[in-house]
Amino acid sequence: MEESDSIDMYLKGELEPDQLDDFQKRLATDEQLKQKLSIRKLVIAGISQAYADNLKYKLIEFDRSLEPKKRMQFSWKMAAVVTFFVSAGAVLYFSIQKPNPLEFDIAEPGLPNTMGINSDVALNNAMNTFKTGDFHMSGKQFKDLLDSNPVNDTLLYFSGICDFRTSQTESAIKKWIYIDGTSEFSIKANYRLAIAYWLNGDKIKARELLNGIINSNDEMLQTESKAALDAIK
Amino acid sequence: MNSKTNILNLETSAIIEAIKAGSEKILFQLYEVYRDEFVSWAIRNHQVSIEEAKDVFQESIVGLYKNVKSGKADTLESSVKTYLFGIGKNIIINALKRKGVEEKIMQNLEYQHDNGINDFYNQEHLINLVKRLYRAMGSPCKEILEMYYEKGFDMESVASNIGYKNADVAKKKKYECLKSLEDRINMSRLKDILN
Repeated sequence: MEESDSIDMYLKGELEPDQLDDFQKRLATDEQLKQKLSIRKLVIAGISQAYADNLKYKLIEFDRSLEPKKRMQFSWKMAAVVTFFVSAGAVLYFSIQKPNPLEFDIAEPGLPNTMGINSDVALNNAMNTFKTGDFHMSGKQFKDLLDSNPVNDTLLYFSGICDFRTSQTESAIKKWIYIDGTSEFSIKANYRLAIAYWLNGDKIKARELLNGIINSNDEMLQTESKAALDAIK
Repeated sequence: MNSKTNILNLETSAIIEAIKAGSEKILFQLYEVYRDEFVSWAIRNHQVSIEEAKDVFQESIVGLYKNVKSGKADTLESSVKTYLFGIGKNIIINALKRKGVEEKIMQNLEYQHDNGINDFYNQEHLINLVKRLYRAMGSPCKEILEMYYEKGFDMESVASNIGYKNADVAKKKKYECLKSLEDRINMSRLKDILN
């Protein structure tokens, strides 16, 4: 059995009594094995934390999806009348209007607050303000944080959104282009960058970035990018 | 049948088993059914805002998930609703206590030299580092490692979910992914030490 498998089985409590005995004896004397075990524990804790963060993120999104549902609990007759007029209006509107890049700005629920003792209070505050939709104030808070940590991808990403949503498109572009390709925000930042370039009239750069996203593995952004590309044409 | 009817018809043990089996749907149903009641309760009893109360309830659902996965909820005798509200209450109380501790730390910086706190800080730092490196991994490594370590799938299930021919192929790929992640962790830790 590979050593890597033994470590997994040890941690999952799946070793047979004699295998467990051997493993524990080795662990008492083998420093390398001890080191590998502690790294594996870290890996498992990291994956678990990433999953929990993702679950929280999905709950925030889900929470938002509940609001329209609740507002829909009124007269269906009224809803039908409203739908008719909205649809008719929409058909008329889209037949005379060019697509507006701002309509392609995707929702960003913000990150969950960190709950540890070492949580970053200033970042949590900025994130909370962001979640309220006050992009002027949260933009200022993110910018203050960026001054002391100018290459932080989280700050660049969220500060860029605040700029974009307060009509400071150039400033948003300058932040998003600095987000590294390995960042977890990379694809989303590229999408936003494309929309910002489009808003500024640079359709070539916008198309280039959107085509890149279509080849990524983010299904949601692939769909958004296809829609944006269709609209740019 | 709506979410409320579904959840209210289920025994606590059935809910726990569903979460254990990896059902996210049931967590969202719990959130939808009990959110408003929790928010009203938290606002009434702890003077928090609506947004804070929702945030706490989201954390409570995550806490429930973690406790079920770690086996802490195996012997749960109360209803899931009571348990969820209990977690939420603890989160609010701990947040208030922590606020006090943070104020103390700011007042007395020597507190930071406490080894226990430093160890905790280091451990959190390391887990965050692993989390970042893991998130930066591509597909299918992320999915394979999540299925095996977080959802507890065996290699046959991992293989069938990813579309591999058999468990051996999945096992080989899992080994490669794990090695790549552990190598990156070692490199990053080395960088940390050198810095």
